[in-house]
Amino acid sequence: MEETREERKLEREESSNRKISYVALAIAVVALAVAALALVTKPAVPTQVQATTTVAPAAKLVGYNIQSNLITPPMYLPSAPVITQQQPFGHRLTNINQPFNSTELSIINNAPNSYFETAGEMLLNKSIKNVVGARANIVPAFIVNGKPSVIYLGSITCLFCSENKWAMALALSRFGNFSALFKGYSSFGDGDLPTIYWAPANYNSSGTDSFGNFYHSNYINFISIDDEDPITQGFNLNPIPVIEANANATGNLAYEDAVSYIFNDLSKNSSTSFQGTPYTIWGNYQVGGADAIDLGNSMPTGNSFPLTNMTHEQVLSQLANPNDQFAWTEYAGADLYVAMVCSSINNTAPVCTLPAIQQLEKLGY
Amino acid sequence: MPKSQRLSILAKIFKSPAYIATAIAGAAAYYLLFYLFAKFNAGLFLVTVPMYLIYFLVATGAITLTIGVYGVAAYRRSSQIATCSVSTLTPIVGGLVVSCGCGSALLTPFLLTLGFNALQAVAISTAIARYNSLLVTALIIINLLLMYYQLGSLRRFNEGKESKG
Repeated sequence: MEETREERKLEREESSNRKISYVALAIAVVALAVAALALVTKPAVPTQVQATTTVAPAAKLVGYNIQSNLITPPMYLPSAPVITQQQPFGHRLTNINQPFNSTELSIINNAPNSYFETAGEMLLNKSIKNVVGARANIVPAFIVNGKPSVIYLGSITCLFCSENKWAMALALSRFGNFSALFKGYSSFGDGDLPTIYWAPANYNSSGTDSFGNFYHSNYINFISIDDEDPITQGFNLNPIPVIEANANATGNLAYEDAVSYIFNDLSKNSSTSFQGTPYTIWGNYQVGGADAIDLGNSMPTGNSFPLTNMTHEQVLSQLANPNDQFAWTEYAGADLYVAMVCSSINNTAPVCTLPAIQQLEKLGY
Repeated sequence: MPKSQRLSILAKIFKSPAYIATAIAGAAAYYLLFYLFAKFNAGLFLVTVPMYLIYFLVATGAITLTIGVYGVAAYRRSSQIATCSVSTLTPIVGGLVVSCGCGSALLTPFLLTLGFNALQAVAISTAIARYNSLLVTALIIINLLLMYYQLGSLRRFNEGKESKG
């Protein structure tokens, strides 16, 4: 009797376990199917220099045309001082928030147009080994004081923002100049990459954003928003309502409207919606993500990046005399942004006469 | 139930070359799954959690799978299919978790497709990125708990068979 009760108990247990098994199996099969579908529908990398521009539904998007001062940030933050001690690569913040000296600024501001042309030709004849390419959407320009704008929304902690800022700075230098740039890093969890900060960053705080820069141009405005979070952790992004509130707290119309343009207008369309950082607008072109992945002389296959083990001085030295894939990729990435701006300003800047830039414009940038 | 009985069942399983091979094959498959998902950060294998966590996740998943296969093969215990299924999910979820970050992550566009708006999708993706090490650790714990449950279940079934003679 006892054995029969025990047997029946085991049978009931087995029966209910069997049902659970089949449900779990079904869930696993569905999950694998969904995962496979997601893998198939989401391309892993942007295609290299193909005309990947798409036209966002213009009827739903409204441009801005405003008059406003732009923000000039402080040159120094007492709460985030320059760190002078030498630290090991990978956990390095040496010289964070240090302004570029005049020689370093000159490498960016006075880079020869010939470098941009050479890199453009390499890009067009597929000599660039790193991935360079952008998924760009045509959008109405954000006009401030009669000039179209370049808008950058990123995070100081973000790997792709950090590696792409070198190309961005080079591109912007073709239409104006920087009176100050600052040495920075991506977060330790995101590669600890040497990068540029547009303004000194609160690298210890969370819940804040850095607004403004030291860029001057007769052709375009540069509106920069860098989300700030502790640099010694991993990638982090403040909630969008926090970024909006921080922008509104500046009292600056250009920045308030730029943030509204991104989160309230462009994010109504799935193609132009904010999906992560960096998020940039180059005149009439909205670009989601970085337009180049430049972490060394070739695409990394592992989880460590050559750029992590470079100093700012080494990066600048390569940009001053480009002779490897890393440096040429920076100029190639800059070329795409240059082409977008040229297209947006009717080619009125001297750089727009470069043959490679004109070719890139024909490709849809 | 004395721990040594669970361990003795585990030792018995891994004395067999067939099950050792199953574990190795499972680990390779799980690592590949995880790698494919992690690589969706613009084609970079960008793992923002310590690699040892990933290795633990893959190893515990493979052991869970192997115990489950043993349970099905040796005792026709179809209940073990459930634990095999869950062990397949943990590297997929692990890959999704570590692919979240500032780049063109897999999860954000997928959430947009599901009907989340941009604010919600980015908030979810960012939250996962912020707590990714904790989430991967939780997945490892899930695998360990599954192993504990599987071995207990096998022990109970084994004792039931022995008592019948």
